[in-house]
Amino acid sequence: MRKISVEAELVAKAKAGEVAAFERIVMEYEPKLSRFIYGLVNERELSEDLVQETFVSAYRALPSMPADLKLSAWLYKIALNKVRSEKRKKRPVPWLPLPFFGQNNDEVVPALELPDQSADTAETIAKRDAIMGVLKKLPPDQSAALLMDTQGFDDDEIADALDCSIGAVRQKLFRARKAFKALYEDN
Amino acid sequence: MAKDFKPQFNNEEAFNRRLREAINSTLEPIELESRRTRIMGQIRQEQLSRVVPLKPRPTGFRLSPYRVGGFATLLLAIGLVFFILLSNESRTFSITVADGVVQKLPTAGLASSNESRGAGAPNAVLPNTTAAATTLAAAAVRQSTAAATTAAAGVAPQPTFAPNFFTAGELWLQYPASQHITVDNQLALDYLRKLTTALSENDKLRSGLKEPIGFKQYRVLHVSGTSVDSVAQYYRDVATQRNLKLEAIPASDAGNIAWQWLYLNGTDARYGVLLVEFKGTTPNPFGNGNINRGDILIVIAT
Repeated sequence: MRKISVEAELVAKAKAGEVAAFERIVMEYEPKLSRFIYGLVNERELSEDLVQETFVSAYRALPSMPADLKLSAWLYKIALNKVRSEKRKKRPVPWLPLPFFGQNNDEVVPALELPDQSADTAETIAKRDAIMGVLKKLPPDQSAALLMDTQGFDDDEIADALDCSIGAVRQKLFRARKAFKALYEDN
Repeated sequence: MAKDFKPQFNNEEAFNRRLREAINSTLEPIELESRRTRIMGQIRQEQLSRVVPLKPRPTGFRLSPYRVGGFATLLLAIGLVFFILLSNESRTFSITVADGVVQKLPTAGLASSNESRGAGAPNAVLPNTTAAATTLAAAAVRQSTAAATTAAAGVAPQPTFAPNFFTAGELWLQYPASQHITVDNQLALDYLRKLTTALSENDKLRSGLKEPIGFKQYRVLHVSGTSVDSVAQYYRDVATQRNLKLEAIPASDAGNIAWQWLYLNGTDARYGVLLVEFKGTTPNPFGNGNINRGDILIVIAT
Protein backbone atom coordinates (compact mmCIF):
# COMPACT_ATOMS: atom_id res chain seq x y z
CA MET A 1 0.00 0.00 0.00
CA ARG A 2 2.80 2.34 0.93
CA LYS A 3 4.64 1.58 -2.28
CA ILE A 4 1.51 2.39 -4.24
CA SER A 5 1.02 5.67 -2.43
CA VAL A 6 4.67 6.62 -2.94
CA GLU A 7 4.39 5.70 -6.59
CA ALA A 8 1.18 7.70 -6.94
CA GLU A 9 2.91 10.67 -5.36
CA LEU A 10 5.82 10.30 -7.76
CA VAL A 11 3.47 10.12 -10.71
CA ALA A 12 1.61 13.21 -9.53
CA LYS A 13 4.82 15.15 -9.18
CA ALA A 14 6.15 13.95 -12.50
CA LYS A 15 2.85 14.86 -14.13
CA ALA A 16 3.28 18.34 -12.72
CA GLY A 17 6.63 18.54 -14.49
CA GLU A 18 8.93 17.77 -11.59
CA VAL A 19 12.02 16.28 -13.22
CA ALA A 20 13.41 14.88 -9.98
CA ALA A 21 10.30 12.76 -9.52
CA PHE A 22 10.61 11.40 -13.01
CA GLU A 23 14.26 10.61 -12.39
CA ARG A 24 13.23 8.50 -9.43
CA ILE A 25 10.86 6.62 -11.68
CA VAL A 26 13.68 6.05 -14.14
CA MET A 27 15.94 4.81 -11.36
CA GLU A 28 13.25 2.43 -10.18
CA TYR A 29 12.22 0.96 -13.50
CA GLU A 30 15.24 1.17 -15.78
CA PRO A 31 16.89 -2.11 -14.70
CA LYS A 32 13.66 -4.10 -14.93
CA LEU A 33 12.65 -2.61 -18.26
CA SER A 34 16.15 -3.18 -19.63
CA ARG A 35 15.99 -6.88 -18.88
CA PHE A 36 12.45 -7.09 -20.17
CA ILE A 37 13.35 -5.46 -23.47
CA TYR A 38 16.58 -7.38 -23.77
CA GLY A 39 14.61 -10.55 -23.32
CA LEU A 40 12.42 -9.53 -26.25
CA VAL A 41 15.01 -8.17 -28.68
CA ASN A 42 18.11 -9.97 -27.52
CA GLU A 43 20.32 -7.08 -28.59
CA ARG A 44 22.19 -5.10 -26.05
CA GLU A 45 22.46 -1.75 -27.76
CA LEU A 46 18.96 -1.92 -29.20
CA SER A 47 17.48 -2.72 -25.80
CA GLU A 48 19.30 0.26 -24.29
CA ASP A 49 17.97 2.51 -27.05
CA LEU A 50 14.47 1.23 -26.60
CA VAL A 51 14.62 1.74 -22.84
CA GLN A 52 15.63 5.32 -23.46
CA GLU A 53 12.85 5.81 -25.99
CA THR A 54 10.38 4.24 -23.59
CA PHE A 55 11.14 6.73 -20.84
CA VAL A 56 11.13 9.71 -23.15
CA SER A 57 7.77 8.67 -24.58
CA ALA A 58 6.48 8.14 -21.07
CA TYR A 59 7.59 11.61 -20.03
CA ARG A 60 5.84 13.14 -23.01
CA ALA A 61 2.61 11.26 -22.42
CA LEU A 62 2.55 11.48 -18.65
CA PRO A 63 0.73 14.85 -18.34
CA SER A 64 -2.27 13.46 -20.22
CA MET A 65 -2.48 10.29 -18.17
CA PRO A 66 -5.12 9.83 -15.44
CA ALA A 67 -4.18 10.36 -11.82
CA ASP A 68 -4.77 6.70 -10.96
CA LEU A 69 -2.28 5.52 -13.53
CA LYS A 70 -0.79 2.06 -12.98
CA LEU A 71 2.73 3.15 -13.65
CA SER A 72 4.51 -0.17 -14.02
CA ALA A 73 1.96 -1.71 -16.38
CA TRP A 74 1.90 1.50 -18.38
CA LEU A 75 5.69 1.61 -18.73
CA TYR A 76 5.80 -2.04 -19.84
CA LYS A 77 3.06 -1.36 -22.34
CA ILE A 78 5.09 1.51 -23.84
CA ALA A 79 8.18 -0.68 -23.92
CA LEU A 80 6.32 -3.50 -25.62
CA ASN A 81 4.97 -1.09 -28.23
CA LYS A 82 8.52 0.13 -28.83
CA VAL A 83 9.66 -3.43 -29.35
CA ARG A 84 6.79 -4.19 -31.69
CA SER A 85 7.36 -1.11 -33.76
CA GLU A 86 11.08 -1.83 -33.81
CA LYS A 87 10.44 -5.30 -35.15
CA ARG A 88 8.24 -3.85 -37.87
CA LYS A 89 10.98 -1.52 -39.00
CA LYS A 90 13.13 -4.18 -40.62
CA ARG A 91 16.24 -2.90 -39.01
CA PRO A 92 19.47 -3.57 -40.83
CA VAL A 93 21.18 -6.76 -39.82
CA PRO A 94 23.48 -6.07 -36.91
CA TRP A 95 27.18 -6.18 -37.54
CA LEU A 96 28.46 -9.73 -37.41
CA PRO A 97 31.93 -11.07 -37.46
CA LEU A 98 33.09 -12.10 -40.90
CA PRO A 99 32.93 -15.89 -40.34
CA PHE A 100 29.20 -15.72 -39.62
CA PHE A 101 28.13 -13.95 -42.80
CA GLY A 102 25.72 -16.01 -44.77
CA GLN A 103 24.44 -17.93 -41.75
CA ASN A 104 21.04 -17.75 -40.09
CA ASN A 105 21.04 -14.75 -37.79
CA ASP A 106 18.45 -16.27 -35.49
CA GLU A 107 20.87 -18.92 -34.41
CA VAL A 108 24.06 -16.95 -34.05
CA VAL A 109 23.08 -13.42 -32.99
CA PRO A 110 22.04 -14.18 -29.42
CA ALA A 111 25.38 -15.63 -28.50
CA LEU A 112 27.25 -12.81 -30.21
CA GLU A 113 25.18 -10.10 -28.63
CA LEU A 114 25.62 -11.25 -25.09
CA PRO A 115 28.01 -9.25 -22.99
CA ASP A 116 31.36 -10.42 -21.85
CA GLN A 117 31.04 -14.11 -21.67
CA SER A 118 34.68 -14.94 -21.20
CA ALA A 119 34.17 -15.77 -17.57
CA ASP A 120 31.12 -17.94 -18.17
CA THR A 121 31.33 -21.66 -18.36
CA ALA A 122 30.33 -23.50 -21.47
CA GLU A 123 27.28 -24.87 -19.68
CA THR A 124 26.10 -21.42 -18.68
CA ILE A 125 26.58 -20.11 -22.17
CA ALA A 126 24.69 -23.02 -23.63
CA LYS A 127 21.85 -22.55 -21.17
CA ARG A 128 21.66 -18.83 -21.89
CA ASP A 129 21.71 -19.38 -25.63
CA ALA A 130 18.94 -21.92 -25.41
CA ILE A 131 16.68 -19.70 -23.29
CA MET A 132 17.28 -16.61 -25.41
CA GLY A 133 16.70 -18.63 -28.55
CA VAL A 134 13.35 -19.89 -27.25
CA LEU A 135 12.30 -16.41 -26.18
CA LYS A 136 13.20 -15.05 -29.55
CA LYS A 137 11.11 -17.63 -31.39
CA LEU A 138 8.03 -16.99 -29.31
CA PRO A 139 5.45 -14.45 -30.48
CA PRO A 140 6.22 -11.08 -28.80
CA ASP A 141 3.09 -11.09 -26.67
CA GLN A 142 3.85 -14.53 -25.28
CA SER A 143 7.48 -13.57 -24.61
CA ALA A 144 6.36 -10.36 -22.95
CA ALA A 145 3.82 -12.19 -20.78
CA LEU A 146 6.41 -14.75 -19.76
CA LEU A 147 9.06 -12.13 -19.00
CA MET A 148 6.64 -10.06 -16.93
CA ASP A 149 5.52 -13.19 -15.10
CA THR A 150 9.16 -13.92 -14.39
CA GLN A 151 9.61 -10.43 -12.95
CA GLY A 152 6.76 -11.06 -10.55
CA PHE A 153 3.87 -9.28 -12.19
CA ASP A 154 0.34 -10.51 -11.52
CA ASP A 155 -1.89 -11.65 -14.32
CA ASP A 156 -3.99 -8.49 -14.13
CA GLU A 157 -0.91 -6.29 -14.37
CA ILE A 158 0.24 -8.25 -17.40
CA ALA A 159 -3.23 -7.89 -18.85
CA ASP A 160 -3.01 -4.12 -18.42
CA ALA A 161 0.35 -3.99 -20.16
CA LEU A 162 -0.70 -6.26 -23.00
CA ASP A 163 -4.13 -4.68 -23.35
CA CYS A 164 -5.95 -7.95 -23.08
CA SER A 165 -8.03 -9.89 -20.62
CA ILE A 166 -6.65 -11.93 -17.76
CA GLY A 167 -7.90 -15.07 -19.48
CA ALA A 168 -5.92 -14.13 -22.56
CA VAL A 169 -2.85 -13.59 -20.40
CA ARG A 170 -3.19 -17.04 -18.87
CA GLN A 171 -3.56 -18.49 -22.32
CA LYS A 172 -0.44 -16.70 -23.55
CA LEU A 173 1.49 -17.87 -20.53
CA PHE A 174 0.27 -21.40 -21.02
CA ARG A 175 1.33 -21.40 -24.64
CA ALA A 176 4.67 -19.79 -23.89
CA ARG A 177 5.45 -22.38 -21.23
CA LYS A 178 4.28 -25.15 -23.49
CA ALA A 179 6.51 -23.85 -26.28
CA PHE A 180 9.38 -23.66 -23.83
CA LYS A 181 8.77 -27.21 -22.70
CA ALA A 182 8.60 -28.37 -26.26
CA LEU A 183 11.74 -26.50 -27.21
CA TYR A 184 13.53 -27.93 -24.20
CA GLU A 185 12.50 -31.35 -25.22
CA ASP A 186 13.58 -30.68 -28.80
CA ASN A 187 16.94 -29.61 -27.49
CA MET B 1 24.05 -29.51 -25.24
CA ALA B 2 20.77 -28.49 -23.74
CA LYS B 3 20.23 -31.82 -22.15
CA ASP B 4 22.72 -30.92 -19.45
CA PHE B 5 20.52 -28.19 -18.01
CA LYS B 6 17.17 -29.49 -19.20
CA PRO B 7 14.98 -29.48 -16.12
CA GLN B 8 12.96 -32.46 -15.12
CA PHE B 9 9.48 -31.35 -14.20
CA ASN B 10 7.18 -33.37 -12.02
CA ASN B 11 4.26 -30.98 -12.21
CA GLU B 12 3.18 -27.75 -13.83
CA GLU B 13 3.89 -25.51 -10.85
CA ALA B 14 7.38 -26.83 -10.46
CA PHE B 15 7.98 -26.30 -14.15
CA ASN B 16 6.80 -22.73 -13.97
CA ARG B 17 9.04 -22.02 -10.98
CA ARG B 18 12.06 -23.55 -12.60
CA LEU B 19 11.37 -21.68 -15.84
CA ARG B 20 11.22 -18.38 -14.00
CA GLU B 21 14.48 -19.15 -12.28
CA ALA B 22 16.07 -20.12 -15.58
CA ILE B 23 14.98 -16.93 -17.33
CA ASN B 24 16.01 -14.79 -14.40
CA SER B 25 19.38 -16.41 -14.14
CA THR B 26 19.86 -15.75 -17.85
CA LEU B 27 18.82 -12.11 -17.87
CA GLU B 28 20.01 -10.84 -14.49
CA PRO B 29 23.73 -11.25 -15.09
CA ILE B 30 23.52 -9.21 -18.26
CA GLU B 31 24.99 -5.87 -17.47
CA LEU B 32 23.28 -3.37 -19.66
CA GLU B 33 24.57 0.14 -19.64
CA SER B 34 22.42 2.49 -17.66
CA ARG B 35 21.11 5.23 -19.86
CA ARG B 36 19.80 7.21 -16.92
CA THR B 37 22.11 10.16 -17.49
CA ARG B 38 21.24 10.28 -21.15
CA ILE B 39 17.55 9.78 -20.48
CA MET B 40 17.42 12.57 -17.93
CA GLY B 41 19.43 14.84 -20.20
CA GLN B 42 16.86 14.31 -22.88
CA ILE B 43 14.03 14.76 -20.40
CA ARG B 44 15.43 18.09 -19.28
CA GLN B 45 15.70 19.22 -22.86
CA GLU B 46 12.12 18.12 -23.39
CA GLN B 47 11.05 20.13 -20.42
CA LEU B 48 12.85 23.23 -21.62
CA SER B 49 11.39 22.91 -25.08
CA ARG B 50 7.88 22.50 -23.80
CA VAL B 51 5.86 25.44 -25.00
CA VAL B 52 2.52 26.19 -23.51
CA PRO B 53 0.06 26.17 -26.36
CA LEU B 54 -1.57 29.48 -26.93
CA LYS B 55 -5.23 29.52 -26.11
CA PRO B 56 -7.49 31.11 -28.63
CA ARG B 57 -8.38 34.60 -27.62
CA PRO B 58 -11.99 34.72 -26.47
CA THR B 59 -14.15 36.94 -28.54
CA GLY B 60 -16.67 37.74 -25.81
CA PHE B 61 -16.31 39.93 -22.77
CA ARG B 62 -12.88 39.60 -21.29
CA LEU B 63 -11.99 40.88 -17.86
CA SER B 64 -8.48 42.12 -18.34
CA PRO B 65 -6.42 43.54 -15.47
CA TYR B 66 -6.83 46.99 -16.99
CA ARG B 67 -10.59 46.65 -16.93
CA VAL B 68 -10.50 45.42 -13.36
CA GLY B 69 -8.46 48.46 -12.45
CA GLY B 70 -10.92 50.70 -14.24
CA PHE B 71 -13.88 49.21 -12.44
CA ALA B 72 -12.09 49.54 -9.13
CA THR B 73 -11.36 53.19 -9.78
CA LEU B 74 -14.96 53.82 -10.79
CA LEU B 75 -16.28 52.13 -7.63
CA LEU B 76 -13.83 54.12 -5.53
CA ALA B 77 -14.99 57.37 -7.10
CA ILE B 78 -18.64 56.49 -6.52
CA GLY B 79 -17.86 55.56 -2.91
CA LEU B 80 -16.03 58.84 -2.42
CA VAL B 81 -18.98 60.83 -3.75
CA PHE B 82 -21.36 59.00 -1.41
CA PHE B 83 -19.02 59.57 1.48
CA ILE B 84 -18.89 63.28 0.80
CA LEU B 85 -22.65 63.46 0.46
CA LEU B 86 -23.21 61.52 3.67
CA SER B 87 -20.67 63.66 5.49
CA ASN B 88 -22.58 66.77 4.51
CA GLU B 89 -25.82 65.12 5.50
CA SER B 90 -24.45 64.19 8.90
CA ARG B 91 -23.88 67.83 9.69
CA THR B 92 -27.61 68.12 10.31
CA PHE B 93 -27.51 65.39 12.93
CA SER B 94 -25.67 65.10 16.15
CA ILE B 95 -24.64 62.20 18.26
CA THR B 96 -25.10 62.30 21.96
CA VAL B 97 -23.93 59.77 24.41
CA ALA B 98 -26.47 58.35 26.77
CA ASP B 99 -25.69 55.41 29.01
CA GLY B 100 -23.49 54.01 26.32
CA VAL B 101 -26.20 54.20 23.69
CA VAL B 102 -25.55 56.50 20.79
CA GLN B 103 -28.62 58.50 20.07
CA LYS B 104 -29.27 60.56 17.03
CA LEU B 105 -31.06 63.69 18.01
CA PRO B 106 -32.80 65.88 15.52
CA THR B 107 -31.57 69.36 14.91
CA ALA B 108 -33.41 72.34 16.13
CA GLY B 109 -35.03 72.65 12.77
CA LEU B 110 -36.55 69.22 13.08
CA ALA B 111 -38.02 69.84 16.51
CA SER B 112 -40.99 71.97 17.35
CA SER B 113 -41.09 74.65 19.97
CA ASN B 114 -43.48 72.60 22.02
CA GLU B 115 -41.22 69.60 22.02
CA SER B 116 -40.13 68.66 25.45
CA ARG B 117 -38.04 65.88 26.86
CA GLY B 118 -40.53 63.76 28.69
CA ALA B 119 -43.08 64.77 31.22
CA GLY B 120 -40.55 66.65 33.24
CA ALA B 121 -39.74 69.28 30.63
CA PRO B 122 -39.54 72.75 32.10
CA ASN B 123 -42.57 74.89 31.61
CA ALA B 124 -40.78 78.13 32.24
CA VAL B 125 -40.74 80.84 29.66
CA LEU B 126 -37.86 80.58 27.26
CA PRO B 127 -35.43 83.41 26.87
CA ASN B 128 -36.37 85.85 24.18
CA THR B 129 -33.84 84.60 21.79
CA THR B 130 -34.59 80.96 22.25
CA ALA B 131 -38.32 81.11 22.65
CA ALA B 132 -38.68 81.60 18.97
CA ALA B 133 -36.44 78.70 18.15
CA THR B 134 -39.11 76.66 16.48
CA THR B 135 -37.33 76.24 13.25
CA LEU B 136 -33.84 75.90 12.00
CA ALA B 137 -33.91 79.55 11.03
CA ALA B 138 -34.94 80.47 14.51
CA ALA B 139 -32.09 78.44 15.93
CA ALA B 140 -29.71 80.20 13.63
CA VAL B 141 -31.05 83.51 14.82
CA ARG B 142 -30.43 82.41 18.35
CA GLN B 143 -26.90 81.34 17.56
CA SER B 144 -26.13 84.60 15.86
CA THR B 145 -27.67 86.53 18.72
CA ALA B 146 -25.56 84.65 21.20
CA ALA B 147 -22.54 85.30 19.10
CA ALA B 148 -23.33 88.97 19.04
CA THR B 149 -23.70 88.94 22.81
CA THR B 150 -20.35 87.32 23.35
CA ALA B 151 -18.77 89.61 20.82
CA ALA B 152 -20.11 92.57 22.77
CA ALA B 153 -18.57 91.09 25.90
CA GLY B 154 -15.22 90.90 24.21
CA VAL B 155 -15.47 87.24 23.38
CA ALA B 156 -14.52 86.11 19.93
CA PRO B 157 -17.64 85.09 18.02
CA GLN B 158 -17.98 81.35 17.59
CA PRO B 159 -19.02 79.67 14.39
CA THR B 160 -22.78 79.51 14.14
CA PHE B 161 -22.81 76.24 12.21
CA ALA B 162 -21.80 74.31 15.26
CA PRO B 163 -24.06 71.29 15.63
CA ASN B 164 -26.82 71.71 18.11
CA PHE B 165 -26.93 68.80 20.49
CA PHE B 166 -29.98 70.08 22.31
CA THR B 167 -33.55 69.81 21.34
CA ALA B 168 -35.44 73.01 20.79
CA GLY B 169 -36.81 72.84 24.30
CA GLU B 170 -33.34 72.55 25.75
CA LEU B 171 -31.57 75.22 23.81
CA TRP B 172 -31.44 77.41 26.88
CA LEU B 173 -29.05 74.90 28.44
CA GLN B 174 -26.37 75.72 25.91
CA TYR B 175 -24.23 78.56 27.06
CA PRO B 176 -24.04 81.15 24.30
CA ALA B 177 -21.02 80.77 22.00
CA SER B 178 -20.12 77.43 23.52
CA GLN B 179 -19.35 74.51 21.29
CA HIS B 180 -20.06 70.86 21.65
CA ILE B 181 -17.39 68.32 22.23
CA THR B 182 -18.17 64.75 21.45
CA VAL B 183 -16.57 62.57 24.07
CA ASP B 184 -16.83 58.99 25.06
CA ASN B 185 -19.64 58.41 27.54
CA GLN B 186 -17.42 56.47 29.89
CA LEU B 187 -14.79 59.18 29.72
CA ALA B 188 -17.33 61.80 30.70
CA LEU B 189 -18.65 59.66 33.55
CA ASP B 190 -15.19 58.98 34.87
CA TYR B 191 -14.37 62.65 34.77
CA LEU B 192 -17.54 63.60 36.54
CA ARG B 193 -16.96 61.06 39.25
CA LYS B 194 -13.44 62.29 39.71
CA LEU B 195 -14.64 65.84 40.16
CA THR B 196 -17.31 64.83 42.67
CA THR B 197 -14.84 63.19 45.02
CA ALA B 198 -14.08 66.60 46.55
CA LEU B 199 -17.71 67.15 47.42
CA SER B 200 -19.03 66.37 50.82
CA GLU B 201 -21.54 63.62 51.15
CA ASN B 202 -24.15 66.20 51.98
CA ASP B 203 -23.33 68.18 48.84
CA LYS B 204 -23.50 65.04 46.73
CA LEU B 205 -26.85 64.22 48.18
CA ARG B 206 -28.18 67.71 47.73
CA SER B 207 -26.98 67.96 44.18
CA GLY B 208 -28.08 64.48 43.27
CA LEU B 209 -24.53 63.60 42.42
CA LYS B 210 -24.06 60.90 44.94
CA GLU B 211 -22.71 57.95 43.09
CA PRO B 212 -23.91 56.34 41.08
CA ILE B 213 -24.66 59.49 39.30
CA GLY B 214 -28.30 59.56 38.54
CA PHE B 215 -28.18 61.45 35.29
CA LYS B 216 -28.82 59.66 32.05
CA GLN B 217 -27.38 61.99 29.51
CA TYR B 218 -24.38 64.24 29.27
CA ARG B 219 -23.65 67.02 26.89
CA VAL B 220 -20.20 68.47 26.88
CA LEU B 221 -19.54 72.03 25.78
CA HIS B 222 -16.56 74.26 25.85
CA VAL B 223 -16.18 77.99 25.59
CA SER B 224 -13.21 80.31 25.41
CA GLY B 225 -12.60 83.84 26.57
CA THR B 226 -14.90 83.89 29.54
CA SER B 227 -14.81 83.02 33.22
CA VAL B 228 -16.50 80.47 35.41
CA ASP B 229 -18.34 83.27 37.18
CA SER B 230 -19.81 84.57 33.94
CA VAL B 231 -20.95 81.12 32.92
CA ALA B 232 -22.38 80.45 36.37
CA GLN B 233 -24.23 83.76 36.22
CA TYR B 234 -25.79 82.76 32.92
CA TYR B 235 -27.23 79.61 34.40
CA ARG B 236 -28.48 81.52 37.43
CA ASP B 237 -30.32 83.85 35.06
CA VAL B 238 -31.91 81.11 32.98
CA ALA B 239 -32.85 79.22 36.11
CA THR B 240 -34.66 82.27 37.35
CA GLN B 241 -36.40 82.74 34.00
CA ARG B 242 -37.51 79.10 33.96
CA ASN B 243 -38.55 79.00 37.61
CA LEU B 244 -35.90 76.51 38.48
CA LYS B 245 -34.33 76.35 41.89
CA LEU B 246 -30.58 76.69 41.62
CA GLU B 247 -28.12 75.23 44.06
CA ALA B 248 -24.50 76.16 43.68
CA ILE B 249 -22.01 73.82 45.25
CA PRO B 250 -19.01 75.73 46.59
CA ALA B 251 -16.31 75.95 43.95
CA SER B 252 -13.23 73.80 44.20
CA ASP B 253 -9.77 74.70 43.03
CA ALA B 254 -7.00 72.18 42.38
CA GLY B 255 -4.52 74.65 40.98
CA ASN B 256 -4.55 73.49 37.43
CA ILE B 257 -8.31 73.36 37.26
CA ALA B 258 -11.18 74.93 39.18
CA TRP B 259 -14.68 73.61 39.04
CA GLN B 260 -18.12 74.24 40.36
CA TRP B 261 -21.29 72.26 40.32
CA LEU B 262 -24.61 73.93 39.76
CA TYR B 263 -27.81 72.09 40.27
CA LEU B 264 -31.00 73.27 38.64
CA ASN B 265 -34.02 71.62 40.12
CA GLY B 266 -37.50 71.94 38.70
CA THR B 267 -40.77 70.31 39.59
CA ASP B 268 -40.32 67.52 37.12
CA ALA B 269 -36.79 67.98 35.82
CA ARG B 270 -33.35 68.49 37.14
CA TYR B 271 -30.14 69.51 35.49
CA GLY B 272 -26.58 69.32 36.71
CA VAL B 273 -24.13 71.79 35.31
CA LEU B 274 -20.45 71.27 35.91
CA LEU B 275 -18.19 74.16 35.09
CA VAL B 276 -14.49 73.45 34.86
CA GLU B 277 -11.89 76.09 34.22
CA PHE B 278 -8.60 74.83 32.83
CA LYS B 279 -5.93 77.08 34.22
CA GLY B 280 -2.87 75.02 33.49
CA THR B 281 -1.39 73.22 30.56
CA THR B 282 -1.84 69.79 32.02
CA PRO B 283 -3.22 67.43 29.40
CA ASN B 284 -6.90 66.86 29.96
CA PRO B 285 -8.96 63.88 29.02
CA PHE B 286 -10.83 65.83 26.39
CA GLY B 287 -7.78 66.47 24.31
CA ASN B 288 -5.81 69.64 24.08
CA GLY B 289 -7.30 70.24 20.68
CA ASN B 290 -10.69 70.68 22.31
CA ILE B 291 -9.86 72.16 25.66
CA ASN B 292 -7.00 74.58 25.90
CA ARG B 293 -5.64 76.70 28.67
CA GLY B 294 -8.20 79.20 29.82
CA ASP B 295 -11.11 77.34 28.32
CA ILE B 296 -14.21 76.54 30.29
CA LEU B 297 -15.65 73.05 30.10
CA ILE B 298 -19.38 72.80 30.63
CA VAL B 299 -20.82 69.39 31.33
CA ILE B 300 -24.59 69.37 31.38
CA ALA B 301 -26.14 66.32 32.91
CA THR B 302 -29.84 65.67 32.44
